[in-house]
Amino acid sequence: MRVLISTVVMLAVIALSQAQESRRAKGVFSITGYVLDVNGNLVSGAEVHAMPIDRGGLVQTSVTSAGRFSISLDVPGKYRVYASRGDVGYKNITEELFTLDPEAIPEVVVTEQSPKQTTVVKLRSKQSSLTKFVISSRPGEPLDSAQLIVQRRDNQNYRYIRTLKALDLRRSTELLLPSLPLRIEVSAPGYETWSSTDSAAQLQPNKLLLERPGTREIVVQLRHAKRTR
Amino acid sequence: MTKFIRRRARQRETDSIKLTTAAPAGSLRVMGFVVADDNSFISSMRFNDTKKIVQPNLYATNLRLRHAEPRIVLKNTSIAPISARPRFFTVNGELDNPVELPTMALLPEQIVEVDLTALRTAAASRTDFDSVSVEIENSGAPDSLIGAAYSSDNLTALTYDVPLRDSGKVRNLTGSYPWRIDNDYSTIVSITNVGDRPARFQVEIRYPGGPYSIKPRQLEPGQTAVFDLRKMRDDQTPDCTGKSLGVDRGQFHWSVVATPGEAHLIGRAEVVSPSARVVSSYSCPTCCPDSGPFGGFNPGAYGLYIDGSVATNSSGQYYDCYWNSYPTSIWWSSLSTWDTSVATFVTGTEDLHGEGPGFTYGIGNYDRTEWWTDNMDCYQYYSPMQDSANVDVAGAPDHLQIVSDVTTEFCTGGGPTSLHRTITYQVVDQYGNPVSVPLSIAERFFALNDHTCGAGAPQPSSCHVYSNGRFTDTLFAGCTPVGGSCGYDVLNEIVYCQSLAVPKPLGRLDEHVHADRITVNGNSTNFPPGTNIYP
Repeated sequence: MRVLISTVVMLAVIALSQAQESRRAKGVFSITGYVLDVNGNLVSGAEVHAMPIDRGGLVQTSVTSAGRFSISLDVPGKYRVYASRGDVGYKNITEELFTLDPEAIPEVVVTEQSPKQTTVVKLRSKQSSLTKFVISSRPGEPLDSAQLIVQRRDNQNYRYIRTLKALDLRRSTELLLPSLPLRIEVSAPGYETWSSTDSAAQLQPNKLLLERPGTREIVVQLRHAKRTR
Repeated sequence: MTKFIRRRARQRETDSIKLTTAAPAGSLRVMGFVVADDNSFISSMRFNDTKKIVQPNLYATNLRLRHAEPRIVLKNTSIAPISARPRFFTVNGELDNPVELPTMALLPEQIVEVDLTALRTAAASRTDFDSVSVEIENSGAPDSLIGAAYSSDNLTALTYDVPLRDSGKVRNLTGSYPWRIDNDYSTIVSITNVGDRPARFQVEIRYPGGPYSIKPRQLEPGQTAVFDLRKMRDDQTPDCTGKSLGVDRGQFHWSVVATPGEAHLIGRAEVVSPSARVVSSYSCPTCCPDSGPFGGFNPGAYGLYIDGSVATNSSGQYYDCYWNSYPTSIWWSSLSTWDTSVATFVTGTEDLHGEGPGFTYGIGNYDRTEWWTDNMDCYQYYSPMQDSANVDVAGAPDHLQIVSDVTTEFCTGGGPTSLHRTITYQVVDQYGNPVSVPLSIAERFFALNDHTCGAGAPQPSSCHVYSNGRFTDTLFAGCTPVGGSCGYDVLNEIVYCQSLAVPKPLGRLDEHVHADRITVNGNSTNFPPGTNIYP
């Protein structure tokens, strides 16, 4: 009986793998959709990429024709889709970019049950900006950990949180940030919270807009919180 | 209206009617019908203006033979004896065995019903004879022979009336017919080359939401093109732009194209509904054939590598005599390259083949025909045209070069973080020059071990085309609760998928992808741009 069950299971596994291979061979998995510019117009000639983000793999690409694209995939999974055309849009993406800008880098989940997905990608008018954060405390005041929060000003649901440990704090932290109005906050236990909205931060009041591609450095020096009786 | 009544029906007797007017040419339009008392036979009578006949032979297209009884009647309208020789062709024209009947002698004014026994015998044994085109060779003058042809359907008792006439003036090298395929209606359009040299034509099916365009097509002498619109709609046959026919009525437009000099094409549409007892034949020409094409290579630049090939494409426009335009592809009369040591066109195709590194022009010659009318006839103006396209040929793909290599942290929200390495590669030739053309790239995995983070193991990518020979690989163990040194190891070979040959290895990557460390060929630090990766 055990032999029979094993045989049946083995045959089922072989059949399943053959079915998967067959589906793969036919190119049944795909992401199609449209690329729109900031005014909502269809964009032709944009390069569209699908990056597998639940595990690694080759980034698949396509070029839009009359604003439409179609990317065939080998396997189901989670993908982030992004587009560029000339100097606009995203050519490379990072976790902070797609967390803060999901309209331009939507997540698409392709499954065996839903092998063909569609999405709309917004083409940002400006590229992302590489930002270096140097977070420190005053000499003699040890900083063991800190939390960096970057939040969209126009939609506070889009926020990127990064926990920085002592090792991270000894070097600068580099993030690629979208060219959108942002609010940045750095907090650490026992220290006053630093915010880009503080006038003391000497940044634009209420918003931080990193417009030009290139590297920008933001120095944050945290101060001990005042003790209250 | 004049009604002729035959008082006693006699089998197989035929007759003719001649109308003469002293009024100016074109003053009279005449139409007649033949109707049996019991309505078992209904057919139209076609009147021929013998003064407008341009050549002696008679032609017909789509004479049905399947489940049908064909009849052909000929009349010598002259005062001298003539001889006539009927021939019947399949869609393949002279290439298949046509049925040829013995030459018939017709005395002056004699009417003869053609003995079609041999044709019926052929139809009974050959499925390619379900429908035929007809040619009646005439030894007399152009206005000496007229005829009528029809088939009576044995199953539906419908009568298919088939125009049998000379090839007509130049304006007959085009047509615009109504069509419908709703309910049990069917429409079959047939176009036959009745000339003695190849002729090309193009079709555009017009309807709201259309058009449906068919690429230019060449017909050899005697060949017939058949368009069954119901079948095209039901099969969702795509046109040259990928569009399918989605409606049940519209206009079928065709015209001779890309055929300098004399051509002889005839066409007609047959619309049939057994339930409505309708059989209609349309063979209306438009004022003149379509002018064009106006266009050239599209795109105007091509990239390929040595020993590789790439298909060229073209686009253009034709204009009909009402200034409606429609898209077309160019029918090249010749294709060549300016520097054959760089690239050549593959004989008989529109494909470029890379011969050596460098730049050259692809040169295409084509015929543009434009038509002018004086409202009596059409006149052809022929212009030889030329267009060119840029052609870049790069060296053959040899190995990989690093374009960029960036490592970032993922899963940074508070749980175990995981490194994410993004490496962009450029395919280069043996000298390190970028092979910046579309290339099909795949991965082959060797010695893949378990994924110890708990996520599913990665799978090698199959062949995908990357423009400019550049592609990006991401190395990532995934966001998992394990973190630390969990991950997987794989020996990954990047290969170039050659169309008709075994994949060619371009780079070998020994990848150790772990949450806290990603190593490629022993390097956990990022490769500087320009680093070569060899197979």
